[in-house]
Amino acid sequence: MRRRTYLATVGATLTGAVAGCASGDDGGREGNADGTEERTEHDEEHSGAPDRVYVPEHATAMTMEGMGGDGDFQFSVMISSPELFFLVEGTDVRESILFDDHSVHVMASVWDPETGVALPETGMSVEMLDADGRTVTQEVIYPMLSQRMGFHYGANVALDGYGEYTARVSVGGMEIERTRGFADRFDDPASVDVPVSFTEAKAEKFTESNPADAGEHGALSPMEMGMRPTGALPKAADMPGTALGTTTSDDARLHMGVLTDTALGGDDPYLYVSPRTPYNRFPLPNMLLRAVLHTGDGRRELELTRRLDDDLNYHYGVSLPEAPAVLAGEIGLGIVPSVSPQVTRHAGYETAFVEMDPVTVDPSG
Amino acid sequence: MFGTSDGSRREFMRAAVAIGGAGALSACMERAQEPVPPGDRGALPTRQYAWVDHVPEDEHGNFRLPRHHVFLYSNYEEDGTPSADEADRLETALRSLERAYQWSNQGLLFSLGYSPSYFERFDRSLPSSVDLPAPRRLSDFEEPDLDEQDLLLQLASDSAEVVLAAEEAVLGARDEVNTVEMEADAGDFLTVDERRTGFISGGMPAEKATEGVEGIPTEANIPEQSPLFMGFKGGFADNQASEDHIAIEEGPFAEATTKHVSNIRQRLQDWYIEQDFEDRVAEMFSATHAKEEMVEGAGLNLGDGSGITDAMTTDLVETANEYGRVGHAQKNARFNRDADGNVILHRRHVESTDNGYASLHFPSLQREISQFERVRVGMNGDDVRESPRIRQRVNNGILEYIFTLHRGNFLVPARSQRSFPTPAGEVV
Repeated sequence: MRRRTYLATVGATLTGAVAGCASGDDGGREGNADGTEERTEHDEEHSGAPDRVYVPEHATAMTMEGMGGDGDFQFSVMISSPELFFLVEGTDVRESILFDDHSVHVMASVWDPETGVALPETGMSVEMLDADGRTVTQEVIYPMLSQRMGFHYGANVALDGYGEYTARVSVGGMEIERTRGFADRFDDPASVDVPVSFTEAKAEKFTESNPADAGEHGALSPMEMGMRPTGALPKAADMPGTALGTTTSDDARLHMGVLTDTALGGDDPYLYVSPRTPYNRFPLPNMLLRAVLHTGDGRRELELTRRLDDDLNYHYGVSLPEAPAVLAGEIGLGIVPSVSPQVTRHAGYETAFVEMDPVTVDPSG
Repeated sequence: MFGTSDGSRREFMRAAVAIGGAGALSACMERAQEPVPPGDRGALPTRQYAWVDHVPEDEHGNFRLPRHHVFLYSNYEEDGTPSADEADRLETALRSLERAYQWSNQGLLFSLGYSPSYFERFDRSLPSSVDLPAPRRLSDFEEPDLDEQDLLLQLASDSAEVVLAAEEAVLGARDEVNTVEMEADAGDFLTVDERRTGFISGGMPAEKATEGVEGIPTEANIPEQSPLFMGFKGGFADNQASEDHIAIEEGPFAEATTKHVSNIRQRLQDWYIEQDFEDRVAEMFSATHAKEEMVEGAGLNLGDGSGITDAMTTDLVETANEYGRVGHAQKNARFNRDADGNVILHRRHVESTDNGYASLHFPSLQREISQFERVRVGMNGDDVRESPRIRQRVNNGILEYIFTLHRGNFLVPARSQRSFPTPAGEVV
């Protein structure tokens, strides 16, 4: 078990001021192979992985098994060979356990068919039924970041050998706050049945390849598979409102901005933070972010709320009356990541966004 | 497979109840070891659910449910309302059972409950003193089948042959039980729509029943003393409403109670494999239980209570941010007390391997169905999910491992009203 013990201390001195975009923030590098359906695979040894986002040692092929819609949700199901991933609990990162009877890695994606926005923070489960309709497995699956797969939900499952199966993919009604165009959406649970064909011929195609720049700082570019969105957020330059800049903390990019005259802030301006992975701009969900204001009179701390908005996408936000003074550089603003993204990682992401330092915002940057 | 030891005999009996039917019954009767005490109709309690004083207690004062349970979700076959003659035949059949078997775990305990769908057969509605809404989903992530059969007959006994014989007899497939003649039966007008079975305790550790059952990993090390698949004792006396507190107090159904029954599939792979004992304690009870090593093995050392204190039920978001988990008992304790501090729910859950899947039949008795719904909604931990470390079903008590397949609501009237009551509390 790998343990990382750093704890971000709330109210610590704000450090690491970085404003503006890191180079390469919005561009992924090309995949190693022939551009067919591939995905990263964990390096089991894992020694010497850089302490930031890196190109993983292996890429493995996968197949799109099918898609389906129910209610407000659109789903897809893909499979590949079983693989290790990394579970994050606080600042502990530990490898998942692989069993001999694990047959496939099941990957489910869920998104809004109207906007193509991939949906984080849903409660997702998958039940695999055999050709006779018997349940072979059923479990809650975890949200995951993968460079090639993007944001998805996944698990290694044990099937009863090769054969035809049905993946019954279920999502709970969303419980994080949804705003504006999403206010009345995604309330109710939904599920679809997707046929999954697990054949020997297919399993043999789940072969690995080795990226030339494995282990280097960078990321493989996400794979496009039909309608399925990778979950990439808009580029920082395309985010709405007045930009406060983009800072970096443990290789996470925190893009910040201010919206005025929207329902989000009520009568006040609205501060939002849109944290994303470098290169591929995948959302970083399930953080606890606090904004710290340094005024002439002292210090004020605000907790940001996790929200899903049809314009801002998944973000963290709070009403901020002091926004004009922040923009004018009269009030200092820091962002404290008290809890780093509690999302499972495929190889290449497990060493980043774990020990996140507080950052300061420099609107002039 | 079925040897002569006590353990294998019990396992045989459990499997026989799950299979049901005349064949299973005769196999059980051949193996029956002790005579079953006959009944005394003069000694019966008013309440059908008065079971606690008729079953043994453990050393801590927790009551022990009978081992074997059969749940017969049944429909009245005709349109409209049952006739007076049919009500009379049903009542006569139930009285025959009461004469045949002592009202106890050694004999037979049973209750008949009626659903909202049943009462809709009548022109008038139930009085406001009865809170019996139609069943519905109680979380954002479940899509249960709703049990809307007319009635639920639950049979319970320590003896497999008793529940099987009672089932056969009440449906007309058997003329005599425990040497008592059945003077009538309900087979002409009642049809069983769903037959479900359960088992618990009484020296029948859950670990014995896991072979070949979907949902429990072979690597699971269920403590020998655990009556439940999840490895811990449940139903602590301190956390159970008394039968007085679940009795409807006034109106035509005074002394009745309401019964919510869910059927919950258990998927314990990650519970036992991804988590260690400390993780399981934190998710079942609280992080404090885990840190302070309050739980040994199946938790019998906890005595008659789960050890949840007021401090464990406050500031759960902060606790979650720090420990990354909230406990099932910790969440529920916040909702399971009335203004006077009395426990609201009376839970009688049993394990099941119906159809080869590990599951739980979970009857909860309470004065009003709405009370159950409030506690169950509290178990979703909506407020606790303000912490980013608590997801809809992950790190959130035991929600990751349970899948609700069925929900049904029933009114369990007083014994005198149990055979086809009208919404006014009369018998048709």
